[in-house]
Amino acid sequence: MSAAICAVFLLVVLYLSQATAVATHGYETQRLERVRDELRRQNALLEVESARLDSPARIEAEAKRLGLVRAASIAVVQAEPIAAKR
Amino acid sequence: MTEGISPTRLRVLFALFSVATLLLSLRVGYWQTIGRSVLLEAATDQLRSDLVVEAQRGVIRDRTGRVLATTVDLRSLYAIPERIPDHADAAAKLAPILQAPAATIRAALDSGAEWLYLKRRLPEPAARAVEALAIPGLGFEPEPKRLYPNDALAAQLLGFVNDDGLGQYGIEGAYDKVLRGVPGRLVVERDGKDRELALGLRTVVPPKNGADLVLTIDLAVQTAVERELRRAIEREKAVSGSIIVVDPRDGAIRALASWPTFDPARVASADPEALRNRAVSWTFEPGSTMKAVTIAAGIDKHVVTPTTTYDDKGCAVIGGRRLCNAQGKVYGTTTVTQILERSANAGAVFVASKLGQDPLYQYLRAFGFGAATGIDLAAEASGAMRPLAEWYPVDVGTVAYGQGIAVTPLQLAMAYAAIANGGTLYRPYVVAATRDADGEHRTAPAVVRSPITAGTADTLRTMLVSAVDKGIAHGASVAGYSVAGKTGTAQIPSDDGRYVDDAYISSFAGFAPANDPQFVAVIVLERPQSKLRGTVTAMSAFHDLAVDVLRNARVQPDRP
Repeated sequence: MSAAICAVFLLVVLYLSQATAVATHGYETQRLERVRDELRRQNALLEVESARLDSPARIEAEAKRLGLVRAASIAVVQAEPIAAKR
Repeated sequence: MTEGISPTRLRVLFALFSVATLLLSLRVGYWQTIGRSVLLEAATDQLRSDLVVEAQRGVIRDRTGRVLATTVDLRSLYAIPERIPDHADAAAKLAPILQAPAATIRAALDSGAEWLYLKRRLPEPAARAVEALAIPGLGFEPEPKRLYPNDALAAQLLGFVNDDGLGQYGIEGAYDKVLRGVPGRLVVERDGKDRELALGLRTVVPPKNGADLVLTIDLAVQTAVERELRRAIEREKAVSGSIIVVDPRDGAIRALASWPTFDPARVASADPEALRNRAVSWTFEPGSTMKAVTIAAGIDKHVVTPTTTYDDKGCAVIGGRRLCNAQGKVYGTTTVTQILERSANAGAVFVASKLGQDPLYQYLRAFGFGAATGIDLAAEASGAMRPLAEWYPVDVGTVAYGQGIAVTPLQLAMAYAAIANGGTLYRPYVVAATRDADGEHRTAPAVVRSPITAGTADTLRTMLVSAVDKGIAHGASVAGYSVAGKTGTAQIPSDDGRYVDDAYISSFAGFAPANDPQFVAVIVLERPQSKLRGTVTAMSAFHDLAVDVLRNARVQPDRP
């Protein structure tokens, strides 16, 4: 009889510890999800900033500010004649 | 103990307790049975949160994958005034960050509201600055914001998203349903600290995010187009303008710009006229750029060849009306090729007369004039070409050189693309692909028809190269490359049916390299200050644009 009571007691303790662990891990999961969402948001903001900095219009304006000028002519190297000489 | 209490009193007390107990039992019984669901609902409401999970709006990218529009959650600043210890101090600290007067912020905090937004969708640096103040009673809520990293670039083409999250104008408007996605739902039980209960109810209907769009637009070409358009508009103090760049090999729009323009981040203060995509929704009488189409029809119908001659006396008489060359010029014996080189109105009338009214009309329709191109953008205009039955005899002459017919810049570009690619008219498109959970769905180029034969198109290309090399379109030539093109100067019709005095629309339509066209560009300027010389600016814009496009596409020179 006492063994049965002990077994039931242990089962109840086991259940309660499991339930507590699940609840604790649930809260931890939620915290990590919030961290993940914030990191995703920061990543998206960085992508936007990267796209803004990479914008040809911004680069042109910056080049102009630095005193750079557009190339007067287009130099194109023909690959075939060079390859034929080798 | 009971000696002092009479049995009657005891019976009354007992009866009262009995009745009270009965009533309580009945009440408890009621809430346990009949009223159970009401209590359960109320208890669940305190625990349960039922939220709409917004779908992520799709990203818009250019053909190389660069971001043109994306949605990011920005933080909106809210206040619970009664938890803020010192309203005046908080307002003073927030004012420089929120770029708002301290008095306005103070008034909002003192308004008596229990909860209010102080500023919605703060830029991230400002949100961080507010966070650093650590003022009690302030908090943030994430709210989605559509961002355009290239600022006003391609503004009319992209459109914008309003505060309700709905796409307006351009791609955002035309593809709103595709981009927006479908919201989901999250039902969970929460504890007193608003945390989700791990062992509680949880029902999730995940949102279906909007599809990403990959456009045919090339950001580098678009940048060049916007730069050249702005430069031409400023030089000419023109009322409006537009530039289109099309890939003639499949009808893909590589760039499309319209002036006046607007900043999608400041739509509220934009001029309504600036929202209009003039390249697609504005019509104009094209003038001499239409001569290439007239001559293409004449050659295709075998009524003229490039070497056919006529005697140019400065004017041609048709339908009892005299139609003359610009500035009264008389050219004498002139070939059909020279009509394009000199932009002779009388020559265009000569070709149209040989062709006849009905064939000219049919060719114009075949080139797509008088009907919308079917581009995947909203608010496309179809142009104006009167039905043949309503034509006066003189119309065959005026239409031959682009007066008495109204077209959109896009229609003109597609007609020139047909000449450039060997005679095929494509339906233009700006969305190259949609990407969703099912994968990528690419847009297949769509052939509309072939208005002219490949042979005619080849002949026209040679003639248009001659117009640039030897003719008045020389300003469009690019060193090392063959360029084909034609200028256009048109009068502007007024409301009373007459033409406006001394005001013009200048344009240039051309493509390069002429032997293997990589792009077609149409430049249109409304009311340039240099009037008849507005085409010089249009050609200059084409030249500078062509240099950029050819360089960007790594196109080998086809001339020494």
